[in-house]
Amino acid sequence: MSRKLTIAVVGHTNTGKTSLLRTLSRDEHFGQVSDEAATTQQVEGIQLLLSDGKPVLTLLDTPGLEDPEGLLDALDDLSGPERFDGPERVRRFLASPDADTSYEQEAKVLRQMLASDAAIYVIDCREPVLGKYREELTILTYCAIPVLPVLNFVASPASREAEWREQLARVNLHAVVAFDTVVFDEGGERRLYEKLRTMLDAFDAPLARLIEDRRRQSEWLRRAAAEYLAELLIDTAAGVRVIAGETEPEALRQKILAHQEEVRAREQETVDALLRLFRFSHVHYQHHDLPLINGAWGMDLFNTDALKYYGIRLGGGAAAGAAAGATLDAATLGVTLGLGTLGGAALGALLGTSIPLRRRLWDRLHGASEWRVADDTLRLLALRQFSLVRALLRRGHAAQTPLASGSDPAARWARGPLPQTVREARLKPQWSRLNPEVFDPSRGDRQIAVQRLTEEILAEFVTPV
Amino acid sequence: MTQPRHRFRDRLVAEAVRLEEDRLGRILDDPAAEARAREAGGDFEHRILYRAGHLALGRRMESALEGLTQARAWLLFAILLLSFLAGVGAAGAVFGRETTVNILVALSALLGLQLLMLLFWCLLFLYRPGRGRNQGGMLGRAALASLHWLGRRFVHRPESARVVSASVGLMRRQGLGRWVASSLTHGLWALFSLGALLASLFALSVRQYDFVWGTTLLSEQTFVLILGVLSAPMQELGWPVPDAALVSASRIGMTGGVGREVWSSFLVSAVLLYGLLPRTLLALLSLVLARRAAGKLRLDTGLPGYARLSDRLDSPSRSMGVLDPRPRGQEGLSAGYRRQRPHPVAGDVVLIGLELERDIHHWPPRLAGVEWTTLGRADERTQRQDVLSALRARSEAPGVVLVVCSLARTPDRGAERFLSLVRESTDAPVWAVLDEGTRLEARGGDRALRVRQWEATVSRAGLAYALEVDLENSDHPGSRELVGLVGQDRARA
Repeated sequence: MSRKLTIAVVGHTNTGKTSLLRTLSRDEHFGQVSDEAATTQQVEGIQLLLSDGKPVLTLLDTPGLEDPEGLLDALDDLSGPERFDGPERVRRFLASPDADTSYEQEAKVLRQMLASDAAIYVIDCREPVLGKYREELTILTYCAIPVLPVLNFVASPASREAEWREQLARVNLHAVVAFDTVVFDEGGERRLYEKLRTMLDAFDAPLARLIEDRRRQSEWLRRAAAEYLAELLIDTAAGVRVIAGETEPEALRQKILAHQEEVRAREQETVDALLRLFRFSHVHYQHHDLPLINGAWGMDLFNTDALKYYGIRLGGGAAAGAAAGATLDAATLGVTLGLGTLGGAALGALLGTSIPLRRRLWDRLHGASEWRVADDTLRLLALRQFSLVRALLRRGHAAQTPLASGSDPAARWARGPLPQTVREARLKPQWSRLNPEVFDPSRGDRQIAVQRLTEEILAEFVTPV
Repeated sequence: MTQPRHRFRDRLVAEAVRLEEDRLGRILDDPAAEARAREAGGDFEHRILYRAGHLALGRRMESALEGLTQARAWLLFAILLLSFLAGVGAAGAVFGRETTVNILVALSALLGLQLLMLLFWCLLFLYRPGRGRNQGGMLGRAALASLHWLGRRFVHRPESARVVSASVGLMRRQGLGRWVASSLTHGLWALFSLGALLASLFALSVRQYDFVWGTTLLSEQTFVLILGVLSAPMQELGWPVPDAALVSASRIGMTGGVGREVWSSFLVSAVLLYGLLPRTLLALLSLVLARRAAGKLRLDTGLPGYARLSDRLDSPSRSMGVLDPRPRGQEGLSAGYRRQRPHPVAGDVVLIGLELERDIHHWPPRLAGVEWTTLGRADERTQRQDVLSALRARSEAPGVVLVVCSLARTPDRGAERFLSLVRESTDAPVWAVLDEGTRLEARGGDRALRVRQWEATVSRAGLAYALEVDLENSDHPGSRELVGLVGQDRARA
């Protein structure tokens, strides 16, 4: 097929046409969005690409229909003694002077509709089914192309979805899709394309490819996100600082704080990478002053309240750390004495490292201690990254509100033993980027551990289809 | 756009670049390379390879790879030469100074070990203990490992070290390492066999040997059986093989020196048939399979190092820009509304409802202290016409016409046109009463912004006044103002 599928996105003013396009195209910079009439006054196009870079579908963002009543009058006035069918009537209207003056904005929409293979009619379903909307639907039928109504804002409590479905059925529009442009739903997007597929026989193959491509893309996205988190957790779990025994308490505190700072920086790096991965620009977030930095997200990793917020019971490692660190202040709560909490695994820690055994034994004899991030801090790190990824998976590219984090106390990671791979990482300083002097990324065992952990984390992001 | 086929080398370079960037902890910024990769099109992997090839680091990696390939070729040559010499040595041990050659000892020296290793290789290949690891024969694995070990020890440039690590990583995938190690194993043994064969031929050509056999533990039948099994394929090929008479004549203690040609031909044929030939074939087969695995190998684009590039190189959409520009002179639509409080009015108060959210049972609204006449709701085309004709039909102009608008609606040109029509249909002042702000707030809208939008619309429609009220709440300041302006006791005010 040489011709590409073109779909005009139409609707009343301020129903979220541009938002729909932003979400479908994953491009948060497309067009302009604001809560007022006629934000979009021009026709702007965007092509959806397959992962091989080939365009498969062109979506046209059109200005809103603002005065359907007047437009319908103008269209009906054209009839006169002769009877024209819908498309002819629209053509004659477009040739009339009205199309260049009072209804210039509407004329743009109709012109694109006539040139398109189908139209998506965006409905703000919080609105009652008013006369003007019914008139719009009549005008759309004049263009004689398939129309797929999309109910936006279905997630809102003010939604009147049932009323709208009934009205659409009355004008013979039975294929309707509920798709919130702000609360992204992968299944909703797929249903939208499936519906278009059933309406557009001639474009069955490209739409099928698009559906398959988007499915694979989202799988890839999940996996890539899970792998980011696996890397972060392995790096953090394996990170260790050896501090000489005769260090002054103040110097010791400084060293531990420096280690905490490195862990925080590593987390921030992952957050930045995740935002980029999901195509939400960092600039945008800083601009909006996201709580990612100063609200719930900004809650300090080594803060006891943060632990409680994520439903992690304080005990075990953190308590032991607090007890062992009696001479230290509360800021060190997140870091515990390595050997103290590792117990029987201590020998393994001594043997399983490439810091020369001789030196480590020497260190040990001279009272040096190893400092690692506590188990509970790891749990917190994991849980809040999971909830960030979940929030990103559900975020439409039209969303303007800040990212909110949710706690999920039922999560497996909040209690119970940490995964085997994480525990293993505790004993492998070479696995951590935080130990640059021994870090070796090409190690086979690290790669296998990252793969395993990725699979486990992936299970956290499975959404019901 | 057809996508050119990529070579294994390109992927190796991309892997090396990824490892270096992983180590640095950041993506190297090179907008030029990224732009070229985006223009190159194709799938994500294609763009990654394109970018890696056009990075300065990528070019350094390529030159490092060049050097390593050369070094590897020399090393490979040395290993192969060594194993050839080992074969020569084995033959030398068999055909030493003694002029009597024990057939069993010769067979086990020239073939025994490698047949045993072949069996071992087959077993490992079938069972594959520890899936996901590369098994390509112990010799091959050891050779690969030593190559990498040597690589790490003797490579000083960091680029070369990254290339070595990248190749180790790629060897773990798609069974590639297994086939590479296999071809090495079989290649080494093939060279060993070749060395043994050539040395044996040389020794047998220039010296004379007597061939004997003997056994203490095994029965004579066993020896005959082994010989039979080994010589059956040769017999098929029509090569000379020792017959029963020759076998019994060659036993130690019998008259020596019989059937020299037959025995020597048998030994040489055995090395050829059970050493050189199968090993060469297996080496070639492994090489073909290794090449195929290398050809099929794709980068794991889900790795963080590559995923990080996705927003630079890959895009699920491409903006086509503005196809039909905005109408001229429509920019900056919202004109400011001058809020000028009118004086209280006398006469009838006429009410029109425009696209309200409240249902028809709550119409007309009640506001204590105000009496009004409703002309109805103007939600539909016909209703609007009715309302307008009713307004025109009034013999006497009312004191004021109030159009109740809903703040839950986005003001549009349709509403603006209706408001203008109302204004044109009466001599009375027309005011817009903006209600239902609470409903807008309930769905998370910005009330103040919406009021400003309506005021702009009202001003464009040429209406005298607009005020925000809450008709369900008589304490709302707007409602009180309305009562003050149009209420029953206004005469006193």
